[in-house]
Amino acid sequence: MKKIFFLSFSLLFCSVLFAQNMKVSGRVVDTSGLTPIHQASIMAIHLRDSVLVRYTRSNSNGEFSMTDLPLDSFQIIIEHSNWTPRSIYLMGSSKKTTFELPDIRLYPKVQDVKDIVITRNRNAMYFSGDTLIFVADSFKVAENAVVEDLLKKLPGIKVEDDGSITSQGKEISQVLVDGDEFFGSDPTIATKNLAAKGVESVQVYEKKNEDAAAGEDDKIQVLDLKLKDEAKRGYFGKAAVASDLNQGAADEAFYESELLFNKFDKTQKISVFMLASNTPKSSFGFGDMNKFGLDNERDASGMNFWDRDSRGDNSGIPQTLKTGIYYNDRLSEKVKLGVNYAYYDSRLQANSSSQTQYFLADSSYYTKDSTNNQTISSSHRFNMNLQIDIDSLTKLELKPNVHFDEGNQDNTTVNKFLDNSFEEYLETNINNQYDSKGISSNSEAILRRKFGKKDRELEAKYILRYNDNTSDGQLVTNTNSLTYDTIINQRKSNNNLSNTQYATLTYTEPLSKSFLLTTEYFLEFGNSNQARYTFNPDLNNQFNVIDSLFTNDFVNERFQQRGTMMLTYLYKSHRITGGLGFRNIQIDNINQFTEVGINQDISNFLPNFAYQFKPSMAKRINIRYSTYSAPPSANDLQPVRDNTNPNRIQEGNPDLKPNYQHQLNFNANIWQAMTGRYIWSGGNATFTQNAFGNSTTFDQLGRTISKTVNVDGNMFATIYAGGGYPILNRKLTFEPSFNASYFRNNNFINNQLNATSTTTLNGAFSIEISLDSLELNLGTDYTYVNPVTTLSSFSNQPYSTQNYFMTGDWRFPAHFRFKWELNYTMNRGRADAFNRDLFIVDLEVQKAFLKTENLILGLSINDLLNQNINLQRTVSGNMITDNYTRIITRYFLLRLTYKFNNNKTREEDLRMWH
Amino acid sequence: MKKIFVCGISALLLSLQTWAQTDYIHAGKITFERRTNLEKRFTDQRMKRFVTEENKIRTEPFALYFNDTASYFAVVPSNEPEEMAWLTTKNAYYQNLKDGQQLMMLAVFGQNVYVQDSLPVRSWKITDGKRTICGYECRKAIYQKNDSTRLYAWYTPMLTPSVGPEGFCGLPGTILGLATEDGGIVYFAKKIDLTAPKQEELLLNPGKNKVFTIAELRQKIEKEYGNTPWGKRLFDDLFRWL
Repeated sequence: MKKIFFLSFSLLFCSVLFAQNMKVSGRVVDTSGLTPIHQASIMAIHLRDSVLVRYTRSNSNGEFSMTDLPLDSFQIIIEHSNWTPRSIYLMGSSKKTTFELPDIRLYPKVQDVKDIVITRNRNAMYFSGDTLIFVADSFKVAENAVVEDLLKKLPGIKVEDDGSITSQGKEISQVLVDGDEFFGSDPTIATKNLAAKGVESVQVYEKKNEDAAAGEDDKIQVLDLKLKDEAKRGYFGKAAVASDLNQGAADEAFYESELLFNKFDKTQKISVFMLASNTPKSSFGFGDMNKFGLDNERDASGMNFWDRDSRGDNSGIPQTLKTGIYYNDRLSEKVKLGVNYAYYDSRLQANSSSQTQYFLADSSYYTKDSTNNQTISSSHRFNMNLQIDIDSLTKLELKPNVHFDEGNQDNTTVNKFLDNSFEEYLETNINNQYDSKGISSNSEAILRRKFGKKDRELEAKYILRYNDNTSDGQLVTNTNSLTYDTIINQRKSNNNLSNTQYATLTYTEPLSKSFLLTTEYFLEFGNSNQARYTFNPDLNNQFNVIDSLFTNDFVNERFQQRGTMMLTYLYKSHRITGGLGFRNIQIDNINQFTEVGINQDISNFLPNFAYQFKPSMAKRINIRYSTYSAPPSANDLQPVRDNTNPNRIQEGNPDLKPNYQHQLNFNANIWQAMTGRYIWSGGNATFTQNAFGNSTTFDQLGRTISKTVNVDGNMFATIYAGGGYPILNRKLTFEPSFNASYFRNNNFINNQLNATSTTTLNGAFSIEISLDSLELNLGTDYTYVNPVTTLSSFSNQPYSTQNYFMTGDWRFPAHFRFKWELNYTMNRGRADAFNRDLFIVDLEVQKAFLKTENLILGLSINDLLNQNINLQRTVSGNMITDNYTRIITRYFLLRLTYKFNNNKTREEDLRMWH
Repeated sequence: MKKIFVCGISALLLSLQTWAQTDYIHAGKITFERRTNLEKRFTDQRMKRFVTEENKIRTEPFALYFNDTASYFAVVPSNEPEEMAWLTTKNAYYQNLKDGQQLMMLAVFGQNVYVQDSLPVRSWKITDGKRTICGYECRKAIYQKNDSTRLYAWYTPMLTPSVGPEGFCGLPGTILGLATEDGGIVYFAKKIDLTAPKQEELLLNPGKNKVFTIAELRQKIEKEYGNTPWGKRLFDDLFRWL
């Protein structure tokens, strides 16, 4: 019963509603009133907001009808392409809901002309040419007013509630700031954010519409805000200090400090930076480098692209100071200038010890080395970058730079030889100290020219590499053995000068829509001069007696030419490139002492091939084959002995030929946006002919003389794959990966060929958890290495590393934040003392203060369990080396960071893509 | 009498001529050119890196097949490879005007996602603005999508089906021009071919793919990508036209 009641009620209700609807009907006829007009379009438009409510068309009798119109006032537009449209206004009311329009006559088309009248010329506003200019200061606005408030005061300018602007009734399509768009195309960003008092004048003019479709002659109306100079000024910055509050001795106290500041003024930008630390942090974070534009500080050692905090140097105990200034300016529309200077002072105290087992055909022995190395280096770096748009198609870029470096090294090594039963039979103490000084430059000039024809391009590039380095030092070695004792005390003075110039000319010509031909000519002209002088003491203990065995002056001259032709075929998502290069290199090696010269004249073909298939943005396959040939380094050529370690003599080889490398690589990636799954995979292989290998001769005591020789058959191959599999709406992602590689390296031991093949297998699995306030990543990683050498089976000992890790970042209310990084590593299969398990724990807690959260106080503990060491095993030729380096272990830091800007707002850190 | 005769003749001629001109069009194929100003499309500095003076204006051809009951809109496939094709999205729409249903294929980072839903209902503001596109007089209508986005459409009543580029419909005629307010994206009819499309040209087949509704897709994207800035971009991009 209830239901029926309800039903009838709602029916009633409906019919009441229905009664409130309007009905419009009528008939459209031509001017004569006789002929009905078929297919006329009839629209019912809300009078109050112009919204189209209903539309219909007249039938062949010219009749139309629209029902169910809500009760309101309407404009009815009747139009037909051959007739002037007509509008009829209807005011619906509860009393009048049905409109039967009499015959609606349409009249033939006439041209209608609209005139726009603009009131003009008061002092506050005037015309300059076609531009209407308002002088901003003539219109009073409130103290904190934004541009929009100012615009509302300007005569003839109307600002709608949605922020859209009309001037003299015509719509403004673009708002510019000093002729440029202000942070994108949304005009309200400029009008709602810029302070009104920063505006000098408001200009309204017509501009050609760049986005107008062809055939469209549209001009758009533009509002251009000319700012006062002081409105374009501002700054932002960051200062951070950290200290362990001197818990150790004064000189052992850990500290880190960072200062970054950027000031902008019209087109000018100035950044200053400073970093001082004695922790492994030796460079700025990636985000800060980007934000402050420190482009030339990126190549700093220890910089890891993905590491947000940039951990840096782990090769010893460092001490770093970096400071400098960047200046950038747009000098004119066409000229951009950047200049920067940096001063680096870095010190590194490295203590390491290593144990090496040597395998000879019929015996084996050990060496133990302990090294204490102290390095001090300082550098002044000047860089410049000048970009000139010569015309719309031609660009010139000049990048000169020069570095002045100075350094000092003090290296003490104890080198012990032990036989099979760990009996020591030879010990050498080496102290090598030297000062070095150098100038280097790596400068570039690039000219790019485009042409009217699409894809036609010409590029000319010139590179100058110059390096002049001198060093002067003292070598003292002291050898004691069962059979002999020697002392070497020599002064060493080296001068390395090299000067190489490269020029490349590349021209690309589109042969058709799908074929491109690229021609390239490459020229290299280089010479290097390596002078090594060794002096023995005379009777007065003055070091001026030349030791001719270790003295030489060596000149290497190179002239290389290469011509390459490449044909590219493009079809849909395929791109195929094939090319062939011909290279000729002439090398003259001259021994200035003996005046003996060695000439080489080598020609090679260098083919290359590439295929890319990219069916969509989420899938791609690349295959590439290329060939390279690198000339030997001057150091490897220099035919003089280096006795820095008298037990391990290095000798140059002026007969070295350039190597020749075949490289093959492929990769395939898939990403599914909807599920978030992805797979990456690939592989590469390199075969090298005339590779630079080592030839080592051992004497009875195990001392060695080695030199670089050309060897064949070196290869490296690897395959890798991995992926991500998210579940629970991407809150949890499984990330498995694996890679396998094979490495074969040939060298000579006592003139016998020894091939070392190393097989490495690595598998990793991690889980990433990403919640609103918590990010957690945990996983494991296992690496198995199996080296096999042909000369001796003793060194064929597989070893492994297993690693478990967990990193996290948890944000708590009240601006607290907790970060941690745990790492547990197990080393297996190494020499006894090196099979160590390490557990490294880093923790950090932060709290942000101020409304802007710009002040952050943090406490971090690095290596809580005090276990951090640097352990490495290398197997090469006939030896296995386990190396241990002492690095910074546990330390605490209390850190205060303050970020600021001229707007006193929250200063965001630049984040990575996610 | 003579006069009346002459009048009658001329009236007849006039009406004949009128008939010839008012030959309203019910079916055909419209080729659109889409111009995208990448500089305006991307507000993010990191995306702007990919935009240069040379590539900032991108044009792509689209085709709209239509008759009284259905329409199909998609990109015209090209044999020439496109540099950085991912900078713009290329969706396809099949609309059934009788059932009021549409099937869309949306490009989400290179993956095609199928969405089935009813035809969109938009609130159009009709203006007095007129312009001629491809010889047809069009009237300008404005669609206020939200506070910050306005779109302009130029439609002609001469083409009677209520269809348009990028699934836009609901006006008393066919849309021949569609533009974002800042001109960042502009669809403009270049050619109108009056041959009625074949049945197979009016078809979008989702194959074995999952078919979402707009609400389902919106929810999924919002849930899974909503809290990342690039997810926001994806979202804006995807629902730009919906």
